[in-house]
Amino acid sequence: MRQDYAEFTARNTQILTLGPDGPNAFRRYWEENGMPFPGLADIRSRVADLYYQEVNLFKLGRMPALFVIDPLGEVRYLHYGDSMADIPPNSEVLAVIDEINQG
Amino acid sequence: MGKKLTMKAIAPDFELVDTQGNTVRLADFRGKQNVVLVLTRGFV
Repeated sequence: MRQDYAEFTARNTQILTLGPDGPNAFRRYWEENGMPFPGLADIRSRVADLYYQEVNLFKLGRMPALFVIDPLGEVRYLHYGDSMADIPPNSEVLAVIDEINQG
Repeated sequence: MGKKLTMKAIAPDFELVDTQGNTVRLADFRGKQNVVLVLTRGFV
């Protein structure tokens, strides 16, 4: 997602990445990796719970999830991963955004 | 378990602080930009 950041920016789209790490760990990771979009420490996974991000006790953590939200605030795409690496390809997400932008 | 958001639902608003100390509110993007919200399992 970092590599294709310009593709998202060009489509009037902001990426927000949330995670359960604490603010200090998050900041360190973000600075070390030069992440170009906001990284937000989700304290006590409050937002993760709001969005029903799945907790997999067997795999000791949360499964990834991704949402596209349009300027009306509506969910236009949602993906709940069923493994740690189950994240949709950027091309799929960009196609959804193109559809939104075409109205 | 098994509960999910649905398409066309209004995305729940939230307010968090980013790694640079800025407060980010989902509602701030309303009427302006699309948002790709990525929920990770953490990095460390």
